[in-house]
Amino acid sequence: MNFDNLKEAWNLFKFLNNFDAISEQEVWSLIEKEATPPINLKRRIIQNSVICLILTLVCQAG
Amino acid sequence: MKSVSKEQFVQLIQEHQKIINSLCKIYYSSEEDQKDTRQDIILQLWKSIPNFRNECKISTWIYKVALNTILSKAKKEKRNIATEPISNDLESSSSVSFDDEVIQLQHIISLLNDVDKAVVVLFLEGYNHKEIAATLNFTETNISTRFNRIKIRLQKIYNTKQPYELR
Repeated sequence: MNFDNLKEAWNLFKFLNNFDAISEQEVWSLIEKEATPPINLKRRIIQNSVICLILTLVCQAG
Repeated sequence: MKSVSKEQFVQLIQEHQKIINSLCKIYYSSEEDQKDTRQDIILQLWKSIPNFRNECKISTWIYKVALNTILSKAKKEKRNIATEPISNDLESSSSVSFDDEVIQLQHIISLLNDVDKAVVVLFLEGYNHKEIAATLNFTETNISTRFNRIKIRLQKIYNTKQPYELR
């Protein structure tokens, strides 16, 4: 099979798919969603450690 | 690439939308899957763009990120893409013409498995085996062997079914 004969078809296929436009809004919404900061792992660990420490102290005091 | 603004990124995506759309259509037959994959690719490109070092063309980098996104997605889904009836979608798809060559191309690619599709697409894009290997994180020998197997397999199919530009 000679794949070189398909190169022209591939270029035509790409050309046809160029009309299916990716809107500016679509890209913006995706990257904006990604830009929203996820829950910070470090912050979560510190919060949990503090809660755990308080609970330990309260239990020991009791 | 040093800090790309969101506006620059949007422009980059729009300039290369034909690559992204073509890959989605090669791998997925349903419009919904194509759209989901397109979004996954765009998101992955956005996450990866700070690591782009201008060591290759931007289009090569887009192929690399897009194909690796598709291949990992397919791996997660444990999907056998080769069995998907892409040809059924040809007539209903708005962006695909009835041009025989394009239909023939889609049919041939639909016979291949995920990785082989990527190899053929990159070859059609003009990359050599070394470049394909680098893009897909395979060895050059692996790509050469794979390519020969693809040729033999398709030759067998076309010898038994229909004649097509055989050499």
